[in-house]
Amino acid sequence: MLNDFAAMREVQAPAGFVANVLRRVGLIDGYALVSTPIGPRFVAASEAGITAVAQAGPEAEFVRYYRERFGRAVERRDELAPALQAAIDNGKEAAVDLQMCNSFQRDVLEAARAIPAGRVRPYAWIAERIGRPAAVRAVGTALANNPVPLVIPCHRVVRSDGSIGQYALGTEKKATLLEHEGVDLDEVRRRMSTRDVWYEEGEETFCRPFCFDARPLTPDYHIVVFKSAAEARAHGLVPCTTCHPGVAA
Amino acid sequence: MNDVSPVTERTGRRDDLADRRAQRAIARALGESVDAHFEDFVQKYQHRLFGFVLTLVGNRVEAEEIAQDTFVAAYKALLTYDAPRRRALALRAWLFTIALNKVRNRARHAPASSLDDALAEGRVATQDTSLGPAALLERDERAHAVRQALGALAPRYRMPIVLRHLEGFSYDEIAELLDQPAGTARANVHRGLALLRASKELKGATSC
Repeated sequence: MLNDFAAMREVQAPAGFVANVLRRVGLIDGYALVSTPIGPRFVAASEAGITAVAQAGPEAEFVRYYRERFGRAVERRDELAPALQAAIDNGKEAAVDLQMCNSFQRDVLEAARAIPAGRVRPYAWIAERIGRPAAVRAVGTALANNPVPLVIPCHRVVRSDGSIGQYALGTEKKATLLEHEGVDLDEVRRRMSTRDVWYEEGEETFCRPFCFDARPLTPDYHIVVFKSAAEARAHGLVPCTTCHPGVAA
Repeated sequence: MNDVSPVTERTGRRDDLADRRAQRAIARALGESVDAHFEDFVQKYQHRLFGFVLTLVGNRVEAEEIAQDTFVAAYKALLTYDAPRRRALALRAWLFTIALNKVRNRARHAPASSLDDALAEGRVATQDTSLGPAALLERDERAHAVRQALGALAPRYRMPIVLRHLEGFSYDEIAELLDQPAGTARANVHRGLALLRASKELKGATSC
């Protein structure tokens, strides 16, 4: 009889048992194929929001990458495709899940998220915004490890001299994305190469040279260049609330 | 015939030790993070829990449902426990308690299921190379008959037998799991085994 009991203990749970349990408690994330200006991407999401945007390729490889990077299971769910496509097309509103990022990385990514389409900001601007003005290199690293490129537009962060800077997916893709948003990269370089110069934009605000939130810069547009924020203030101008001129040198 | 040592003891104390160590490691990991380690927990206990429930309810579909419900309930409970409590859990006994309650609740709301559905199910794995094909077949048929006989037993005998002889719990643990004195559990196991041996399902089968 005891031998029979031993044999009975060798029962196997049905195939897919673990996945079914994990799905029911929300521990399997879903992903779908989405089209972007730089080609097809896999976009994954948890219950909380978008977790990953990655190169579309062999599915097994993506599932493996996902487990390694996020420590979670992921499965293809094509019914998510419309919502994930919308998040890529207009990432501003989409919920993102940055659970796997540390708080510094999260701060950097949230700051980058505030940059509107068609605009750029230097790494130093992000460092200032998050209250860590000396951490410019760390900002670069955090952006390079952005798990949700495109949704959080790390491609809009450029070097302080106006050159395009690094991008996890390659400089070329970064340029493609910015041009797709209507950014004139030559103009960016021209403006930002004059680091210590302040443009007076319009009637009463003054900006830093990279501030594309100000009125567009055209050849016949009247620009007054100041040597410092203090000089602009002395002329009765107030600092732009987007680029915060004068926050740091 | 009167007293029998549990199967687990024959499979070797080393396995038991390794098992307990693995159980503690998972409890510790769950203490750190439920979400990060819940999958390991399900991986580790899926077969045992499913087998356990299958033996109690005798129907694969129902057993899968109850086993899944059990893990879902366990997950929700783990989220409400603080880290020290999660670390201190005796995971297998805790999980089986949840399963037992689910089986009991189901029995209260539905007519008792027979083990008939399980007859073709729960076929044993046949990796045991020490047995030839004929012996394996015979063993399968015996296990089959025992499963059928177990299913015909009243739950008050079936549950403690399963816990003792299939799952290897101590009588003290069974007393806790079934919320009854250890002496009662022991008596029910012995009485149940006697009934099992005398049952019509096992009459005429090879002696044990």
